[in-house]
Amino acid sequence: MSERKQDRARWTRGWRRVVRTSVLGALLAAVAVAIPDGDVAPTHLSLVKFEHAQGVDSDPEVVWVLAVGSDARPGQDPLRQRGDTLQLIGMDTRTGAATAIGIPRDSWVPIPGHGSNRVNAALFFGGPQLMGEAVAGLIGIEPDYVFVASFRGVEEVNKDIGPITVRNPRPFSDEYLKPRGYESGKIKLRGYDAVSFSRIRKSLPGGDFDRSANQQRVLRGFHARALELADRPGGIERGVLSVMQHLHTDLGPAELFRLAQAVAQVDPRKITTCVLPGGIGNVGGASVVLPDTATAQRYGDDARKDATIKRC
Amino acid sequence: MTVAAEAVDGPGGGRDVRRWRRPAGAALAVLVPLGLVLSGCSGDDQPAGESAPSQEATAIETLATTVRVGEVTGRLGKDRARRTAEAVADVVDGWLDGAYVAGDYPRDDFADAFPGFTKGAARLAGKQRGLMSNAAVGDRVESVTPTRRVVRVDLLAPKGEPAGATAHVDLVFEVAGEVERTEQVRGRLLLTPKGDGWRVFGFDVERGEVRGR
Repeated sequence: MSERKQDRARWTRGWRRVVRTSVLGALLAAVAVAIPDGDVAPTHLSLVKFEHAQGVDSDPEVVWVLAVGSDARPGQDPLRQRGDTLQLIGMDTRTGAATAIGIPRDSWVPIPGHGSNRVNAALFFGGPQLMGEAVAGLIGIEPDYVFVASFRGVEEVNKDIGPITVRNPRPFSDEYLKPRGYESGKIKLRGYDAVSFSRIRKSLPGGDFDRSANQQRVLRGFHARALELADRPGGIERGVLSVMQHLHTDLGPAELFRLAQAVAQVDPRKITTCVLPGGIGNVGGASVVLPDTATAQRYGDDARKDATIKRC
Repeated sequence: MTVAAEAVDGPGGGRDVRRWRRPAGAALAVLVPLGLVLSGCSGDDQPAGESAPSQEATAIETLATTVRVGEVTGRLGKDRARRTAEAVADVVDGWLDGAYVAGDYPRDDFADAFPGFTKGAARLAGKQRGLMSNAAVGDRVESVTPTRRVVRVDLLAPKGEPAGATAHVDLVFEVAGEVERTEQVRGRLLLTPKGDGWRVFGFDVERGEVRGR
């Protein structure tokens, strides 16, 4: 069976259990709690030599999650609005490697059954499944899960797990979303700030591309926070519960727990992130991003089997 | 292979279960879970060598596992949580015995070191069997004597039904023979319910030699 067909088969299987919801950072954060085991017994012994073994049984071994931040306002169905945040995240459960491919929201792409449009319109036209198909057409990887989160959902999960730390390369602000702005350097984001840091675009020199990179900084922050919480008793379990309480998902708790534990096995040193490049174009008078489709396919080919992109 | 069991009242009115295991004559014996000692939520763990239970201990008995109910996330009654933790610890015990403690040493067969693991998890553990079992030293060891066996179980039960468990494991044992040292295995096993039992689908474990107490 060709790789493409295998992906298709996996895609079909994946959708039986798929998703409606949730967050991006939410998963990587709330869910991704816990790792080793600091809380077992204060040992009165000294370990003079120690080795480490880990692994999570997962099928498939490389799990792909499309994280979609929906721009739904209160009262709107987040599954049928436009996607503001688009990150295709892969995790290799054998190695602990992970990658995130950021897709600019305004990327002009074919959307099955709807001609061509901005990629984020796929959520509006056909919900999470069509969103996944549109991204799959661009990158060549079909996600096993699609998680859609509202701004509020991300905020709530962030409140549950506590502040995250990001490394901000430049100061920026937005007169509506964050008038006081964000300083450069290592900064802490809490609740709303984690959301607005991911949403601001107009004041960034690289616009949509820089915003996508900021979303990846937030993802790393969520993951780092998750690992901080990891040693706390019941950390993973509480993270899963937070996701279930604040985000709508049709994943069962056991499957969510398994996915969360897989996220918790990701090694932060093995995370690679790239934002899909492209040019600015004009379609019907509207400014759009014309994605570099060759690079998109290269990212997909590079990361498909090991969730690692060697170079952006 | 013989296993005796007894139940006594535990602290706080809880039910302690101690199942004494006698060394088996055959390698298969490693699959027999060692006993459990259920206690309530815990204070500090005992130092190595102090958790050996009780009056019944004889030369042919080995250390029972102390099982603690850790954090319960969701709704689960105390008794249900305790029974669930015991069921989880049963599976963990299968690994501790199969991989480290039980069996006839010197021993070079660790094919059954991971009972209760999913096929995929057993394969992953098998690739790291030097750490996840005594496979690296088994043929140079005459005996294995555990001095600490503690399992603390965190539970996820969002709708009143257990859906996931993290078993925090702390095992200390002395090996004697051509290889003589004290080792500690600690970390966590990740489990979800399957049928009427639990299966290990992941692990994050460290192992080291211990010197000094």
